[in-house]
Amino acid sequence: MNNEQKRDFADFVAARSDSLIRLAYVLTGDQATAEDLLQTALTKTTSRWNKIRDNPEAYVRKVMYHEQVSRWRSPRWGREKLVDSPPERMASDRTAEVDDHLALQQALRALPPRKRAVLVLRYYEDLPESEVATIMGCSVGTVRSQTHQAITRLRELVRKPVMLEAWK
Amino acid sequence: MNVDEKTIAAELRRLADASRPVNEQAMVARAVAGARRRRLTWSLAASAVAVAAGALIAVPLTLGTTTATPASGPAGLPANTSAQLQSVRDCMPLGGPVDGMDTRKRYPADADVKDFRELVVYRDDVGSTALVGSETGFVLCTPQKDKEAFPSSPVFTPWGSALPGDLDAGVSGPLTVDAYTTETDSNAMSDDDQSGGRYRVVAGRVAREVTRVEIDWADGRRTDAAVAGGFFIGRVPARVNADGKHLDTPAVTVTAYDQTGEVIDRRAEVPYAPLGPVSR
Repeated sequence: MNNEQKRDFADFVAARSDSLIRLAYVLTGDQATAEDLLQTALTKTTSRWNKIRDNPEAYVRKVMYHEQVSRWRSPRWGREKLVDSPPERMASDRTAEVDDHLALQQALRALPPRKRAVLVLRYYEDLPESEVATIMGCSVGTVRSQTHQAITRLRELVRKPVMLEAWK
Repeated sequence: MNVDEKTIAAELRRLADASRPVNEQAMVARAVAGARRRRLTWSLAASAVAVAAGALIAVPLTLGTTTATPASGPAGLPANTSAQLQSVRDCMPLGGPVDGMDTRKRYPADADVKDFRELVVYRDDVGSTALVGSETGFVLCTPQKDKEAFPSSPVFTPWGSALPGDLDAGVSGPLTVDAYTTETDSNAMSDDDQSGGRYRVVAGRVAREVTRVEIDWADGRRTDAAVAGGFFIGRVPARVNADGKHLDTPAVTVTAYDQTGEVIDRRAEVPYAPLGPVSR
């Protein structure tokens, strides 16, 4: 990058980093991993800055989705992992005491990244199924089925204690 | 509870609200430099310092890690104000840090005073001690009331205690203790002070989420360190052992807290150790 491009890139990051870290956090569930994800996406962005400088944010977001899902596909990542202790959430005899929001948030954290990514694209980014399919590189039918499975799994997780699926 | 599009969207937004702003300048710098992860080591600006065979001098050790989270060192060095620049120059009258074995010699030879920043200062009723650092290492600076009698000895210690040192060196969690040593503050000398104006000093690096660092001096005293820009430092007057000859320097425990008051890292049983590189 030449100096002018670096300035443009710095201006873009300064203007959009708050929004981008929010998205990274929703995808990953913790600050450190979110920052790693965003850093990776920004680094990839610099190498293609000339081509995407008209709409760099769309590119960064797309890279973050792909990075997160591919990280999940990596052999180093278990799709479901045993956790030391169940996430802090309602037990059956304390249901009435626990905030619904907390239960749903814990369930979202417990979803595997691909399922979570579909929900983020559909309901956090509010994108139509066709655009979600384009970003994720799959068919609209796959987006529908993934969304359905994710919501079904969320409902199960909200109803019963989370033991096997972990955030990461 | 009802789990539908509306509740999911609301919960995702609530989750996003838990994120914290990033250090955008550091991210830009790393992206341009080609770093893919925050924790990657910063490239060294300085050329590697020649490592000659030499005796082990000392190494500040940290034991008893209670938290292991991905971490990186401080994002970078702040700029000195003119007053800070003067303080750093006063601390390094030879124009750079000095050799722990011979404080009349500069060491490393290519470390220049202009590379050093006043990172964080602990002030008490008597005086102050500052952590002053460069991209590769640090010194401690304690302004004296009598510079002739008590000349400054800014002994260079590489970050991570091993040459060549960089800001991520030795970082394994949100809290890194880089120094537990003693400094002389001539402002504290008095007829009834048996320690000779000595202070026990603990300093190091912390992650951005650390807002408070507490030092347990293992003698009934606890103090909050000064924290700024990813660095911390604290000091207390040293006490003399029962033998009346030696300073009491038991191992200390250092604890890092986040803004909610939660403990996010702790280093227990950090032993006292003079400063300096592990090897040359």
